[in-house]
Amino acid sequence: MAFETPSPTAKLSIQSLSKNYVIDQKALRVLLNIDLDVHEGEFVSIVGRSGCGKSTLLRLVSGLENDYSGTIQLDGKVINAPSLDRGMIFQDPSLLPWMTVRENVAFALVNQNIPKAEKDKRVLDLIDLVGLKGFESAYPKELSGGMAQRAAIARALVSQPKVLLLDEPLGALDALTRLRLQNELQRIWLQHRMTMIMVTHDVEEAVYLGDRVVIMDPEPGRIRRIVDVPLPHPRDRASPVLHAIRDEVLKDLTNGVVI
Amino acid sequence: MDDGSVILKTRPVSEPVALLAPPAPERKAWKRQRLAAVLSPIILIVGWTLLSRSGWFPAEIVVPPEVLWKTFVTYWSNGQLPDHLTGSLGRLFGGYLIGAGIGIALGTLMGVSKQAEAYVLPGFHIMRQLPTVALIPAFIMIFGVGETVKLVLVAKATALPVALAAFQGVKGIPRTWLDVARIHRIPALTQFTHVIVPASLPVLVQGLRTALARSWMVLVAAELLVADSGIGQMMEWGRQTFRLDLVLIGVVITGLIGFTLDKGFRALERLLTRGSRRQEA
Repeated sequence: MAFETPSPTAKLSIQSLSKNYVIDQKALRVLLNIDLDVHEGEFVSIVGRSGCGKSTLLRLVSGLENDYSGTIQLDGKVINAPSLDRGMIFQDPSLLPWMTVRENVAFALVNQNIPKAEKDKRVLDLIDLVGLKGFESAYPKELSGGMAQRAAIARALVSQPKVLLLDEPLGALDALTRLRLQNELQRIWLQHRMTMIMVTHDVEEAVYLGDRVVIMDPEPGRIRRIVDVPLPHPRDRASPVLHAIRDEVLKDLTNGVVI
Repeated sequence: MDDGSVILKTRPVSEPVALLAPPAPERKAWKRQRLAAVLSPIILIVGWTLLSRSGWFPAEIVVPPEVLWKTFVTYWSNGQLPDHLTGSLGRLFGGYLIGAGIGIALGTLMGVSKQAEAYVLPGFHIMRQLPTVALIPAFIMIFGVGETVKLVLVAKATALPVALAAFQGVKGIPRTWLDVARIHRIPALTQFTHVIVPASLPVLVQGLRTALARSWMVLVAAELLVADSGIGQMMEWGRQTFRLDLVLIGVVITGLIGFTLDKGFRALERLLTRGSRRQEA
C-alpha cells in the first residue's frame, strides 16, 4: 500500500470531565466526572444506553463542543477546538452530495499546506485503501450505504489524524455490510496503528474491535466500568473468550434494566 | 483489500441510471396527460365561440373570440400592447432583482447568525401575515404614484419569500456537514462557498420561483390602481371605457406571462442543476 503515515499515535487524557447543557434555564447534567486515559494506538470502544452522553464525549474530544469543566488533553495539549490531529466519522456518512467521492475526500485537505500533486496522491491512495478504487468520480447518491461510509472513512483519514473518533459509524448499515466494515476498520487500524475511539450500540462490535470497552451509565453520563479485551488482533469472531467478554458486557449493560 | 473488491462487484455503478427511464405504463399515463393539456383549452375556445354565436348574450359581454383576436392584432401592431408589456416586465424584473438581492442577503444572514435571526425573524413573521396589496395605500402615500412605488411593492413581494427560503435553506443544512467542515478546519469563506451555498441552493431556488409568480400578481394589482402604462393599467382603462375585449386580452396575457415566467424559471433551474441532478438523495 502506497499510503504511509509516520506512525501518528497520541495519548489522550481525560480528567474529571463534566458537561452540562442548559435547557429552559435548567442545567441538564450530560457527563459527570469522566476519567479516561487512552494510550497510543489503542482502540477503545464506548457502549451505553441512549442518553449516557457517549456522543457528547466524542464531540468534546473532537473540539466541536468546548464548553466543559475538567481537562481533556492530547499529548499534553488542552483541547478546546477542532484540530487536524483529530478526525471524526459520524453515523451518517455526511458526504457533500454535489461533490464526487474524490472531491469529498480532497475537501478535507483544503486547509493543508501540501503541494497539489501530493494532495492528489494522498486522496487516491486513501480511496484505494478503503476499497473504492474505480468510484473516484461517483456521486454519493450512486453509492450504497457501506460504500458511502467507506468514502467518509477515507475523508477522515486523509488528513492523517493521530486520533480517529467514530460516532456509531456502522449503526445505519445492514448486518452483513456492518461485519465487512468492522473487518475493514480493524485492517486499517492494524496498518496505521492510530488511536481510535468508537461509540457504538453494538456490544459485539465493541468487544470485537476494542482493546478496552468503556461501559457508561446514563443520567448523568458516567463511566460504570471498563472491560479489557486481552486478545491479539486480528481477532477470531468465533473465539470463546470473545463471546464470554461480550456476554459479560451485555449483562453489565442491561443490569437492572428491563428490556 | 480482497473483501473490499468483492463488495464493489455486487453493485454496478450504472444501476441508478437504469432507473431514470420511466416504465411503459407511466409513459402512457404521461401521454394521456399531455393530450388533456392540449384538449382542454380547445374545448374552452370552441364552447365560447358557440356561446357567443348563440345570441343569448350581447357581444359586449360575451365577446366573440375573433373580435378579441382583432383587438389583439390592432393593439399589438399599433405598439400600445408592446409598450404596456415592456413597462410591466421592466418593473417586474427591476423590483424582482432588488427584492431577491435583499432577500438572499437577509435570509442568509439570519441563517448563519443567531443574533440576526433574533432581531429580524419576528418582524418577518408579522410581515408575512400581511398581504402585499394591503400595503398599496400606505406605499402610495409614502412613495407617490410614480415608478418607485411599483418597484418597492414588487421588491417587497419578492424579498419576503426569498429571505424565508434562504433562511430555511441554510437552517436545513445537516449539522454534520458543517461539523465535517469544522473538523477539517475549512476556512469560513470556503465553508460558505463550498458548503452553505450549494447546500441551501435547492430551497432558495424554490423560493425565488414562488417569489417571481407572486411579484407578478402584486404588480398587476398595483398597476390597476397606480400606473400610466402596464398590463394592469390597460385593463383598468378598458374597464373605464367599457371595452371588455381589452380587459379580457389583459387577463389572458397576465395569465400567459405568469405561466411563461414559471415555466421559464423551471427550465432555467433544470439547466443550472443538470450537472448536480444526481445529488438529490
